[in-house]
Amino acid sequence: MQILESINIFLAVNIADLALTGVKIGLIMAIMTLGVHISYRILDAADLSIEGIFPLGACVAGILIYYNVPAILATLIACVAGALGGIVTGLLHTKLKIPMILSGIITMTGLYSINLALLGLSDKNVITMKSMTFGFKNGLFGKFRELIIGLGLDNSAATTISTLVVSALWLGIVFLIMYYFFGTEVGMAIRATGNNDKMARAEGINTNKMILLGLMISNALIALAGALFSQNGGTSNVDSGRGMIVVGLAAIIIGEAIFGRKTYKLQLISIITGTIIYYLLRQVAIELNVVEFLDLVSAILIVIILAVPLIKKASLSKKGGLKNARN
Amino acid sequence: MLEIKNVTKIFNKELSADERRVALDNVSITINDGDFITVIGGNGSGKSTLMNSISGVFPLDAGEILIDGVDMTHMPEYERAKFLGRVFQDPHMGTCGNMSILENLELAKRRGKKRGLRWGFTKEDEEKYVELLKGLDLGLETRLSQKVGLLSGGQRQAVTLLMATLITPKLLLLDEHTAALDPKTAKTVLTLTNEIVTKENITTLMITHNMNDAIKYGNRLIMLDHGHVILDIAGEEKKNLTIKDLLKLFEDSSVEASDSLLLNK
Ligand SMILES: Nc1ncnc2c1ncn2[C@@H]1O[C@H](COP(=O)(O)OP(=O)(O)O)[C@@H](O)[C@H]1O
Ligand SMILES: [Mg+2]
Repeated sequence: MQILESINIFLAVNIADLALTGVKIGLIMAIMTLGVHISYRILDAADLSIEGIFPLGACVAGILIYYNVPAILATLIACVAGALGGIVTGLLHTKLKIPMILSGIITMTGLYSINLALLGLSDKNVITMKSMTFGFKNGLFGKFRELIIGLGLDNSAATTISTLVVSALWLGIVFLIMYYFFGTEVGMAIRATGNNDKMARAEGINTNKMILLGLMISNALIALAGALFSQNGGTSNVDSGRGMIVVGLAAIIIGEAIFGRKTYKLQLISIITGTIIYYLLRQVAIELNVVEFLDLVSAILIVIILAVPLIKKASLSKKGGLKNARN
Repeated sequence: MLEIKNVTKIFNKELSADERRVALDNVSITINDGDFITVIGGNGSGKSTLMNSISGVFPLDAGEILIDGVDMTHMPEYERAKFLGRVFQDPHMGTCGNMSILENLELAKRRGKKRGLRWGFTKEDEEKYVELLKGLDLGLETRLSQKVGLLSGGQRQAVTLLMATLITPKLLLLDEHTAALDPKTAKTVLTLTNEIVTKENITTLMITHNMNDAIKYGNRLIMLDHGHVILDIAGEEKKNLTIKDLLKLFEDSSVEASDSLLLNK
């Protein structure tokens, strides 16, 4: 009992609250970032559909939960919807030869209507709000809270613990699956495709199939994150994916800056840590009332980091040029 | 073994006549089991196009290609890979720089096989690769877990060669695979190539820009010019071939080419 009381006191502290919110969202969003990592880093494909897929996960899970489908089932169906979205982008790219960036934008744009239509299946007015509330208590986190609230925790402590535990659980499962999968024969074939598609074909790999498969997994994870995110708030919002690409890339870059990319396991851990750090920073920015600048700062950060190798190269060849000129 | 029948490949077909490139013009070659063919020819004579036609990089404009009687003219590139081993001119081309030597070899081990959800590495494979890498004598056997991107061009080509022959291919295709290397490394890789090819008796098509090598290696020599086979000799005849003969052929062919240009005007 005393332990529970001290937990309650601990949670009342403001700074801890701020950190907790960051970690809570960070754990959910790390699943999204892992998905982004698959398309951007492993497949080397700039898939912009994320901003439509994330809310797709939110809307599919939301509307299903609204109609009393068990939250766990709703969440899994949201993953499948994300995978289907990945297939659309992948087919546009591999079969119709539409450039990757454009394929993603097309999917994202189309999904906006689909997401709105999905929410419209509820009896609520979603056109002006662009969102639909189904209630925290009906989602995965809410259901888990029901389970643990009997242990004597107060409501807010139970909410926090439930969110932390459930999202950490999902993240853990995703981490293990990804770690295993990309070491399997198929997983390695996907990595080879992203790294050097000509070599991959020479080694008998159907690169188009691997791009499709990779995008399916990537988008399933992004939709999963969307589904969890919506259940954390009890609301599905068609605009919840806005700025997600920048967030994902910033998180990956922050993580890599700290841990490097030595081993695959380290890379996965760095992505998760990077996301949590990003959302901690975001909480600070909210507290300081400057959150509207965070996306701009992230965007600039990404440009700088992406430009560093180029600048290094340019200055190296310039030096070489000068040397040659002197000789 | 491999039959190339009346193959034609035209690049920029949709453009005007003077921008169109007839890279291969009605080429027919029959490659026999155990042949080690060296291919020479000037820049743009169609050597790489010949190799890419065999490996299915692009669709042909005419003709067909059969391997052991099986028509593979319309087979996608990744499917033909089960018959072929390939090493490219660019050392970056044949390996995944972001993946380790071990991972690259494990990828090559499954060429032409079904890839499933089995774990991609085994202890036995690793031991086998260590032995094979020792054979290269480049000190790579202790660097199995290092990224291939860290290797030098020559080391990468040696690894690619190992990958291309890890499962003995029906046909080994080498496209100027030593051209990007310094002379000493080029020699090492070429010697290694000859060793592997003769030891395993692999049917091989080797493009080279070096006439000495073209004469020195293999049992048969093909010379291409403007998309045509202008020389195809084997056995004793090839053994007796000298650089002087080849140079003369080169000159004659270019004279012929300029003659035909004049006639067209
Ligand atoms: N992808 C391509 N697009 C357009 N033209 C090409 C392409 N590949 C080769 N060619 C042209 O086809 C001809 C033969 O090229 P290639 O087979 O690469 O010659 P080689 O390898 O003998 O130097 C050249 O005129 C070249 O410019
Ligand atoms: Mg060439």
